[in-house]
Amino acid sequence: MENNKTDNFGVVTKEFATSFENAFLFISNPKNLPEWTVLFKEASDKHAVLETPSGLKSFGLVTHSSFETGVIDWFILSDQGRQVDRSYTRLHRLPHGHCVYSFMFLVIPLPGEMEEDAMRRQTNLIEEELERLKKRFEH
Amino acid sequence: MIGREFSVSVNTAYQFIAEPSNLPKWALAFKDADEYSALLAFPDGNSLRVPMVTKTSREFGVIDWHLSLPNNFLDIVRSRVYSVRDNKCIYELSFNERPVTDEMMDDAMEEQARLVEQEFDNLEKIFARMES
Repeated sequence: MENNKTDNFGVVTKEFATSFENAFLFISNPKNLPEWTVLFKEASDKHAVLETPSGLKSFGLVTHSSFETGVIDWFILSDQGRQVDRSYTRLHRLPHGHCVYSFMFLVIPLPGEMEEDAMRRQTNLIEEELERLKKRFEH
Repeated sequence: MIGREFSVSVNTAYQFIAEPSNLPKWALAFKDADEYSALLAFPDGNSLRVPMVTKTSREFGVIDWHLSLPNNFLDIVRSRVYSVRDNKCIYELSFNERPVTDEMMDDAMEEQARLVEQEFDNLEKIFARMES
């Protein structure tokens, strides 16, 4: 796994011993988000319930995905339709039949949180999520 | 993958990076490139022209290069430009996927990361000139 850390964003990547097709079908289905992410408690094509510091909250959800490029992006929207968070991810085919998943996130500090603490918290969270995916695909 | 934030709009970055003839201006291994091929420079001073296909998706900011190397090895360099906010974007570039032994892996990764950082430095200078 490689982590690229700067002030404003982070990238976490992980290789999965499964085919690109298998991984793409599972990850790009928003209904599977509660199975491998930490904060998604429910998800459908257009809505998601997420765990927030103030408890469970309902949000709008938009998934942009492309099998050809391996892109799977998520946009979280407020009740008013304003974008409150986004994750840019991409699956890449590897030559030996495996795939690698790259997850880019923007650092969003919680109220009162230092940026470097937010980076560490979000990186740890995504590493845990990618580890969950790895276990699912490889066991 | 390695990424860096650039002070330039996603459109400007995408248009410049997706144009294969611009590769020699910022990518260290490219001496020449067009829509069909690339002239690659090697550390030993040799160079080799190979077939190259640039695959892009403006919608997703994807810019990939497929290089047909000798011995039927297809080297795919994958990259993506993301919009962050007005006149800011993030460019993410994959490492070389050439197979290496486990012993070579750590050194190879470090060296490739260093080279990609140099390429990002080149892009930063180019974008700064374009914006001024």
